[in-house]
Amino acid sequence: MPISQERISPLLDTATRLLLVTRLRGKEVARKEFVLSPQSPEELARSVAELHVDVLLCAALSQGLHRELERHGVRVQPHLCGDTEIVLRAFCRKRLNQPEFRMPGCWGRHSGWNCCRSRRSARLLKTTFRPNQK
Amino acid sequence: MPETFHNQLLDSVPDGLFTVDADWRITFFNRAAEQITGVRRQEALGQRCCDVFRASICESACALKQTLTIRRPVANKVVYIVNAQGERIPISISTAPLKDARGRVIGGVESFRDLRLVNELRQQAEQQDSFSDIIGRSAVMRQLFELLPPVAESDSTVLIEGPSGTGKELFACALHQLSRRKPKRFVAINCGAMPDTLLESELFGYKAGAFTDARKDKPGRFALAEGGTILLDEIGDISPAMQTRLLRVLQERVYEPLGGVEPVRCNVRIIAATNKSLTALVKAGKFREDLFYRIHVVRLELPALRERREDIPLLADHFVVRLNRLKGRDIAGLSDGALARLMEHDFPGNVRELENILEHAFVLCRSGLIELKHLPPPLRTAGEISSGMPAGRTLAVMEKLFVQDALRRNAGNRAATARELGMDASTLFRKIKSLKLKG
Repeated sequence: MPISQERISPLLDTATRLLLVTRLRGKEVARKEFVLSPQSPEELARSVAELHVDVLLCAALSQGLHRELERHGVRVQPHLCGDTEIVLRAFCRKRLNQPEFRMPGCWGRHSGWNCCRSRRSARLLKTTFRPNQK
Repeated sequence: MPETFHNQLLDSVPDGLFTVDADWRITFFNRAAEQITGVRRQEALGQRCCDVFRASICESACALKQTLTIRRPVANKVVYIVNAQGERIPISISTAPLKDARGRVIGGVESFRDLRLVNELRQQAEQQDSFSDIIGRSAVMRQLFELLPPVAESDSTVLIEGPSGTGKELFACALHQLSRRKPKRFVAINCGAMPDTLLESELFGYKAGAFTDARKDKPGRFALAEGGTILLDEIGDISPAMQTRLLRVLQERVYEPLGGVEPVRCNVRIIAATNKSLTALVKAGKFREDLFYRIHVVRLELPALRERREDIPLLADHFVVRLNRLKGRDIAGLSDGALARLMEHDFPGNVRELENILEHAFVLCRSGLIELKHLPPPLRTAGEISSGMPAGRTLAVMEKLFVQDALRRNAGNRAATARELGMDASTLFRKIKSLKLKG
């Protein structure tokens, strides 16, 4: 997971720190941090793949980088936001699909930018979850 | 004025605009911001700006943070964002602190402009200033560009003369691409880098048994280029013996592979290139006169970069774009100081040297503009004793370059350019017209 100030780094393409968490039979057994230097999407994808990452949790990333990561066999779980520890906990509990972990924006899941969820559900999200409020 | 009026007003501007409070949470998000980022206002409001904006500088060099720290605006910083569809969008951003009635800073405002259209227009302009990957808008380059199509069509042997690093191979390749031989191969060989025997086997190939290790036939470069074009680079460096063999190919269009007994006919267009003066070599008796006249059917003379200094900003821009693409970076260009230093440099290594200088700068410069400190050490120190202005330029040329650069920095925005230059917009319009600039 790319991290910045105890949160998921907003853009993987320019992230400078990568947190590698090793889990064994559902339990975290090791944690290591890597420094990422500015590099091209191909190089960054290769660097991540060389760490034998199974799944990469990240926020925004460019299409080119996403393609490169998949080409290197890295499973990407993108468009997440929130505090590092809370996101990790949610990942362990398979709760990352909860709206509070979703970045704002429709992320191309529909046919265009104008097709995000309805105003009502957006309002609900805003008033009910307020995901990033501390 | 009521708030709704302000909102309507800000929604009508074509630039994206948002404001944040002291906790970096978005408090206003206009319509253009929705369109550029792909995030709806309802979703953006109340969110941390970096989660919505996703710019290349959010993590390392946030312009808003910089503004709120130094209490000064940031103007026209070129970065990119990743929109909701995962596309990288180049934008230029400007930031300013937001203050309350008492003058206390309560947040910040950031406006941003989508540069895709500007970049597209720039690309179109670059296409006008280039020919088959050769960049230049100087008079001498335009003359060469005009010559290329008829020369390519003619199928005649061409001699390209020019100092090292001026793009002789690019011109040869362009001649091939523009000719009817395009579907066949373009083969280049540096004749100066090889001893005679090796050059002969490279050019003409060899038959099995021609020498100890020749177990099977090997085609030479002439055979590989059959139907296409061959570039004989550094032709001025070949020995008298090789000159004789080449003369036969040029005269009779036949050659014999090493160890072969049958002459092989060839249909290859020959382009010769050299960084020496063949005329001088002929006079000195080092180059066969008959071969010289065989090669010297059409002659193209490429200028040194110092003879077309006006192309330096264009070439520098071209290399910055290319290196950004190759290295996945977002360097915005060169600062005035760095460009001025390049303009006064003599470039003994010509365009290749400029490319190497910029590659060096890319190693040291992580983002933003390439500054003087990012240039190689000899260039960094040389200017300390000079004025920073290129030598041998007239005031009018310098003014033109200066205004042109300011326009480029402001992405063609005349109002912003006029502000930067400290002049009235109408004065700038007049200048653009009188200097015949493409504003």
